[in-house]
Amino acid sequence: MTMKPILLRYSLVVFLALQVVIGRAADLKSSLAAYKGEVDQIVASLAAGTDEKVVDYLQSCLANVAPITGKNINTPGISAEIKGFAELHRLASMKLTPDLTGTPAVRAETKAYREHLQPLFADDYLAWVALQQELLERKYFQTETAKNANFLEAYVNGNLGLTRTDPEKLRDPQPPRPLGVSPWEAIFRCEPTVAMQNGPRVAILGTAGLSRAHFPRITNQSPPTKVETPASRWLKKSGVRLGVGAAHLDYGTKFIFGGGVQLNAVAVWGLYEPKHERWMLGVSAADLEKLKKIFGYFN
Amino acid sequence: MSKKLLILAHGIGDAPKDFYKPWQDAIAKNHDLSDVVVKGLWWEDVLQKVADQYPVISGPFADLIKMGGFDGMDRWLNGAQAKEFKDYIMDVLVYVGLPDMWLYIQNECALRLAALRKDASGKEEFKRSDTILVGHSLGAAMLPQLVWRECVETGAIGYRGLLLLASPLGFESPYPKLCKDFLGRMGHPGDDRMSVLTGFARAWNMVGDDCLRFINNENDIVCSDVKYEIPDTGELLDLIPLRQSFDPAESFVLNAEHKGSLQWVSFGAPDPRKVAENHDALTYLKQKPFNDALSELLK
Repeated sequence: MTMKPILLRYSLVVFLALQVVIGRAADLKSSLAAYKGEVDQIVASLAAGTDEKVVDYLQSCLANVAPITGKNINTPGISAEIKGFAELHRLASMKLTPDLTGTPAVRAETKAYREHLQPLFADDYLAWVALQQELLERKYFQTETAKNANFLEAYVNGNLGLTRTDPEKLRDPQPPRPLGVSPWEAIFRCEPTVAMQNGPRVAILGTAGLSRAHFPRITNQSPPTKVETPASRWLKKSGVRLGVGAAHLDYGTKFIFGGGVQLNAVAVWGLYEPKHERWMLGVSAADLEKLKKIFGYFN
Repeated sequence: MSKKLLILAHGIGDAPKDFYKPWQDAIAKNHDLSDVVVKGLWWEDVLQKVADQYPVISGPFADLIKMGGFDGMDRWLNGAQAKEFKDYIMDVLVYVGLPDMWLYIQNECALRLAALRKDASGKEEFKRSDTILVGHSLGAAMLPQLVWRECVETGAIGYRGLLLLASPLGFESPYPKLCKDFLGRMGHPGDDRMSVLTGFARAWNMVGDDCLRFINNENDIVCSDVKYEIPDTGELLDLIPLRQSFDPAESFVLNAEHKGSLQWVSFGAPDPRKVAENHDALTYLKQKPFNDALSELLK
């Protein structure tokens, strides 16, 4: 391909990207202006004697617009500002009484908000949801370690402070909890293991550990995007384990324990057999097929 | 008049992808749907994916549940009914007991709902304000949570209306620290059930009259604390030893914030042999409160 078509193609891509960015920027600015214009009109046409709470509500709706007026949707961090604005808007209604939320002025303001702002904000919200969903998918379903997951792990990981997802942090792209999803995961499971003692020996370990999913980097813009890193692309998960179990050694079943390092589905163990005070290497795998291959290789 | 989109969401059970077609036929008997597009929000595969990943219906955990007071179901329902309602309870437990999986299911449903409003090319075909949502059973707990999450993130409710049939949203967890109930999942940390219901009904009232309806059958154990008369003995037994329906104060708040938002109907009978009939979606769709509410939303 010659230089000219490449330049043309890149120019087109840049042009289209600019159109999207400028279009969305104009969307936010013009939508805010349209909403503010309508609420101004509602305030101007309020009948004398309108309940003060309704007037206060409308005034606070107008005041809330000010901090984001004139901002572009592609400004880094704008999503967090949108969320803050949306929260103020919703909470303003809580100062009304039930009989006032159905008044024409309040409903007209709500209609303007639903027409001009809510759809734009909802698109932004769903873009973050889509990425959060991808991280949850990677953490809990896609990796090889997910194959042996169990209910206890799911319960602990959903409730433990270190491992749970924090839905309130949906729009926070920064580590340690990008999009609210903790990369840490508690592991409690039994794993078939190969213990190396005069050749491969069958063992079973009850293991507890902590593993870390390696997520892509998330850009702080609207809509957010992901940037894969070598760790997110290739390593995916790593962690440490402690294990206690039994191994078939010297024609008998022996108690063993040890610690291990997990790389993706495979964990490499340093195992200790206390009766004969001996150390040995071990390999376990969340994916049984992988373990069969390892066992076959040493046999 | 713009075309409306009617989205139907199923509850527990093995709902097929085209589950909504019999629902559509039932609705068409009472409404002119020539300007309405009916689609199904199918999410059975997501529930199944999570249930397969974290099996809880069999094994020691199921025994624990039985010890928790659900043995009445085994004793008094026939095999198929007992299985169906045990599945129901277990689906509920997976949905509310595993917070990260709740978020995963919610995210997936939110993205699917957004996709249903678009055409094949991804262009928005129906505005949220032209979209009416109808949920049955667990779908009538998933939908309000989904709508409320979006409202909290965007500042207002975007949809035209929400009709909830046999909603278990009133379920109260006896141990909210161990397992939040449906309403517990909707709030910010620290919010109580009453403040969530107040905000939710209030946000709908700002949209318009008759936008939100909970329609519950007083004989349906999913949404009512009905006691069934046991054949032969005449003993009155509550098959689910939890509170399923909103308490009087919660009911009052719902109706005060959005007039008529909680309506009771009566069909079937308080008989353990009629558990499935009392919860039947198609029978709910024939009820007057549902058809009155839908008529208003289709105007």
